[in-house]
Amino acid sequence: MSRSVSGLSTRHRRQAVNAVLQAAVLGYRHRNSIGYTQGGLRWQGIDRHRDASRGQFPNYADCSAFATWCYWNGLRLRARHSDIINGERWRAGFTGTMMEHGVRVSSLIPGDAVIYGTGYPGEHVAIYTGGGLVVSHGSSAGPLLLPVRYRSDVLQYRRYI
Amino acid sequence: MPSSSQVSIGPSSVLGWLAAAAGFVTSTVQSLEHGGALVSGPGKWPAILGVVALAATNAGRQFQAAHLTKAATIAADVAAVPDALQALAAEAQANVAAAQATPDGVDNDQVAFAHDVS
Repeated sequence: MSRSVSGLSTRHRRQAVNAVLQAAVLGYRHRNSIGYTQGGLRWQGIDRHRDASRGQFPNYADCSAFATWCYWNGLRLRARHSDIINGERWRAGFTGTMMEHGVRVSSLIPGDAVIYGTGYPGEHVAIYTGGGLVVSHGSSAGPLLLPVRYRSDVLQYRRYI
Repeated sequence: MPSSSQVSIGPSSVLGWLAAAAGFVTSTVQSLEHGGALVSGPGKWPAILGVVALAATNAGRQFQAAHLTKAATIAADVAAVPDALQALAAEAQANVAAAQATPDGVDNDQVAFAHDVS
């Protein structure tokens, strides 16, 4: 039987991915309440234990902090998993550390990350939700549901769960 | 239960069939020699053990088939999750304009990362 990237069982993997997507969609629904910053407040979602299953979301984040918060909901809160996204014990990270973890894949399934840019360490990251769409928090517009190729510089797809 | 085309003749099934065959051959030879029935007389235990081995290995194959089928359908199961999002595809197209109006920030700020880990 094949194992998931995260080592989770089929059932737990499905639950974790669902939680990641739930967090991403919650962010999109509340995009007007989620500001964009690359300062220390960007880790607010994890620091303040904002649980998407309870309707909680961060008020500030940047792209990698928002993506990490989504994965934290699925991996840490649902599966009690260690930080396999950035390898920083859920306390830090950016696209560069995200590119150093997980596995690169050639096709997307929901819950994967899409990295944008022209090379390491990448410039942007979004969560793939299925249907050719991502939730991307890249600006003051807040997390947006967008086509994967809304940017032309798709660098790679990565799978963590 | 859905079937899986990934389960074929493997070591477990070969062993099962060999065990069953060995049991039946032994039983048959001995029953011919002694004039007894297949499941009675001196050869009954090899025959019974052969049948048990066959049943056990085939049960194992069914278990394996169930797991392989489950693994093969992970992607399909997960793909079904965001059905609600598909209804938002039109919104996604409309959001492209918003994304272009406020371009993504470059997320390679080593200074911010150093701040995080300090």
